[in-house]
Amino acid sequence: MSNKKPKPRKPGRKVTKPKVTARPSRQTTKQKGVAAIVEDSRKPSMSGAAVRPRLIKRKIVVMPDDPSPSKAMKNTMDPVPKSARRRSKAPGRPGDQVPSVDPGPQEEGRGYFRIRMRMAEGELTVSGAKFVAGPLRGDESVSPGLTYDAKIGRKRVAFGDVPDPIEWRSHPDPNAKGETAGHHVTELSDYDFIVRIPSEQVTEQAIQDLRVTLYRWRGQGPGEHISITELIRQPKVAVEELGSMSGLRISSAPVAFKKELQQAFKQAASSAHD
Amino acid sequence: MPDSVTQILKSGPPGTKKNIAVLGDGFAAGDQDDYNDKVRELLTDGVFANDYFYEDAQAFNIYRVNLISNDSGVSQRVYDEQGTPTDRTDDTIVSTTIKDTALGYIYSGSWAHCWLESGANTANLVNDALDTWVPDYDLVVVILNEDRGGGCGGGNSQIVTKGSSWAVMAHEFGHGTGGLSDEYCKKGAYTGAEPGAVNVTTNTNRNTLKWRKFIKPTTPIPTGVNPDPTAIGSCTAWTVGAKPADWDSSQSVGLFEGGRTKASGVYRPVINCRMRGNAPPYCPVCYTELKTKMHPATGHSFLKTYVGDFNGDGKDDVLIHNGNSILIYRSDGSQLDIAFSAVERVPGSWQFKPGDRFYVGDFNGDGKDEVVVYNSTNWNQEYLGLLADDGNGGLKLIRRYDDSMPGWQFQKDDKFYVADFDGNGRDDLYVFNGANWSIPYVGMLRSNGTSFTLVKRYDGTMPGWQMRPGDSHSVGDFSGDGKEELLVFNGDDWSIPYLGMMRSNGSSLSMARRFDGTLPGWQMRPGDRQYVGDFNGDGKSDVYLFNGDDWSIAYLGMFISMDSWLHLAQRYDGNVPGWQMRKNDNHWVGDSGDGRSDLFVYNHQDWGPEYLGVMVSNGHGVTASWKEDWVGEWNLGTNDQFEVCDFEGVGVRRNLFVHNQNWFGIIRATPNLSLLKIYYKWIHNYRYGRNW
Repeated sequence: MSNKKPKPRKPGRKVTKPKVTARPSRQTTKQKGVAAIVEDSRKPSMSGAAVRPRLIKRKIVVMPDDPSPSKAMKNTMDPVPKSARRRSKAPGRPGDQVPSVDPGPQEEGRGYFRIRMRMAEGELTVSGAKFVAGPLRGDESVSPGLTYDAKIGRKRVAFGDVPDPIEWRSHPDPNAKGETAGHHVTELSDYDFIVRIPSEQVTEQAIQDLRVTLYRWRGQGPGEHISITELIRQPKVAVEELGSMSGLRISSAPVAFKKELQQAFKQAASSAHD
Repeated sequence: MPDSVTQILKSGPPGTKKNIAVLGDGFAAGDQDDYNDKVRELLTDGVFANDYFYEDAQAFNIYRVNLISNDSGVSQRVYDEQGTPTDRTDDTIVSTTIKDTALGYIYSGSWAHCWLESGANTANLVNDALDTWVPDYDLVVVILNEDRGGGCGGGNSQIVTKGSSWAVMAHEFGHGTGGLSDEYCKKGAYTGAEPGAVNVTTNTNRNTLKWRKFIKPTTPIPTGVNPDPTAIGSCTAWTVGAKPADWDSSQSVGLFEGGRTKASGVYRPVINCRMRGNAPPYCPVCYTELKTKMHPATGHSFLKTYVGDFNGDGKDDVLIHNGNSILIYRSDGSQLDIAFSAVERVPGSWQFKPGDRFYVGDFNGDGKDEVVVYNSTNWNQEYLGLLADDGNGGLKLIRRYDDSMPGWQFQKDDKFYVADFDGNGRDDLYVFNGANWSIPYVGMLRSNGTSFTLVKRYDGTMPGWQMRPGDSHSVGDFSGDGKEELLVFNGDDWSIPYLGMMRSNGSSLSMARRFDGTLPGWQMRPGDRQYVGDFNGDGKSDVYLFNGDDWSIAYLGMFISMDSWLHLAQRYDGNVPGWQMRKNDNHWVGDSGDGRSDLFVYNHQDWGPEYLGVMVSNGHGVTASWKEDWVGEWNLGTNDQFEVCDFEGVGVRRNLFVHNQNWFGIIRATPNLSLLKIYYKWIHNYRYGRNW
């Protein structure tokens, strides 16, 4: 690259800078003869003069008319092989792309507890627990039907919809036209649903204060979902409490469940240290 | 053969998606292909290849668990139904034949017994299998190795046979994911309170009806009334006056008596939705509920959209990229409709990632656009793929380059420009890298329709041009010979700015003209922005030059290409007729319809309200018109992005796709800026009403 000095050039014509007036709030070009907006009165206006070179590291650096090939040796691409310009042979079907060895920034959330709740004859109990690694996207709103609300103390740790837990339906008989062309419905008195709580929201000690409430409610139209706080504020005629569980008495829980819960917390702790 | 799991739909981490676990019972080792085929038929090619679930596949993961049963086929039970197949209370067991299967289900073929039942240890076996093989699950599908029909669903589970259809499964998923009610009818009156499900109601008041926003004012309410509930036990269709000729039985919304398994006293939205008849698509009410529920899990937004005419009908379509999925919506000239949905990968294979960059062009000259996709950030090396028509309106990978191609080593900051540099009707690629090597490089990658070949590489210099990292490029055919070349600008790396017009001979570039510091009537500055378009309609690309940063006022220049010279046609100092220029004006080249390239201009920073304008060229100057704050129903905002296109298929790019996180609009430029369409959160054309 040459750093030849250009001939000194005359500075550009000095122009009278337009005065900055109050900042207009609207386009006014539907009126004729509107003045140009001055963005920065310290800057010049364009003129017909040649451009004044600026100094780069105290030098005037201009592009040569006929630049010579680069002589760089390090960190350069390999020379173009002669075969590059020939039609390359199509390879076989490619396999999977290769994941990065460095997984990059960890996704938000190290894991969550998947707690299986059992509703049996109006009573809500915990029937299983599992730790699942990875982020958890909690629900943002709730929709008509069944909704659970999970708190530890006063803090809400999870909520969400429970679609379709109450019925068992036989599929329609494809060859029938009478009643068996529909479902045979069996109402369930016992059913399960899942509560998912981010692992950072709960400790082995605090889970003993877990309170879960299951509501049934009638909402508005399709897509008109509401927040859980709005749901709780609904009048009782609109929201029916189907059952609740206040506290998780681990000491009196079945041994298998105790083991499962301990295992889940162990995995959560291990995940936190990874 | 041990038990195993295969994730057949990979949308994301299980805690962020709805997870479907599929288990098989009664499939011995030799039956596993049969099981896999059935899973594909029911889910991949069935539920998730149609209407709602196709569009929102990105909200779901599917885990196929292959459980090896010792016996082939499931246990059987025979009932004596006493001639009353709908009443199970008088049934007696005739025989039970037990087989040694993974889950112990027993098939009976009796409707009243839900076609099948659990064995003594089935619940534990199912739970053990799920805990072992699936990290998390919301829905469980069990497929029995039984050829006869039937199935049993509820409680977020479905147990089906090989005789089951995907349409019934999709209906059941309406219960399990949307909390939707049945819409079919049997004899009897509903006497309960207002149901919680969004798709059935007892309310006949138009003003308070929960799906009122989808009902045309001229549609009578109720629309269908059961004339004799004591005698008629089926769903009521249109009964009130004459049915409009264009009434669609699954998509036109009214209020029809019958639903929730009863023939009277309760109403449904349409004559026949999937929640009634299984086979029709979901009605607008059910569709909207499913979309609203699952939208957060899809992760869909309108932020990354790309224009292309993917079916070659002359109307520009849109490709939307979200994380590991793409959706293509096809234009019919007045609206967009879903044409293709792919999650995680397309056949070939290309696995989509958030860092994918898309370049659309007709790389094989067939009149349909293909897609070059490049990823330099999400894998352990760079990948470049060529995606082409799969023959079914979608895309498949036809060529992939891993890390390099002969003569070009891909790097993180490679920049690609679509251009037909050899004028053969097939788009090619220019590639520039000024950041990752000791010297900058430009490559010319020629397309033969199925692959790319490097025909020329410039290492550090091009004829008459010393490359620098700050070089920026535009593409145009400045000589009008059908070969697209590069316009290269550097305002930062030298003491004066430079603009070079390159000339392509199809396999290399030469310098047609270099402008050092000045153009005729224009002092170049670092903040100059070039917009290439044929604004005088002579078949040669011209150049609009804008600078809003470096002077006290903003300038716009129009430079006519004269082969190897740029002639100043017009310079606007501060104002264009009809538009006060400001420093943060943003421009896109379009065409309002006269064959001369115009400029769309948008400014959301320098005024109180936002302005969208169009500067229409008369060949040597422009005049502008604009809309303030709103274009029809579109409220212009700071996060709006614009893509110029020919959505209407009129032969000129007079339309703009305008989009942000949740909104997508289509604007027409002439005769005035007007809004043609607006979509919120998802693209769907309701026959009446909309989802907000």
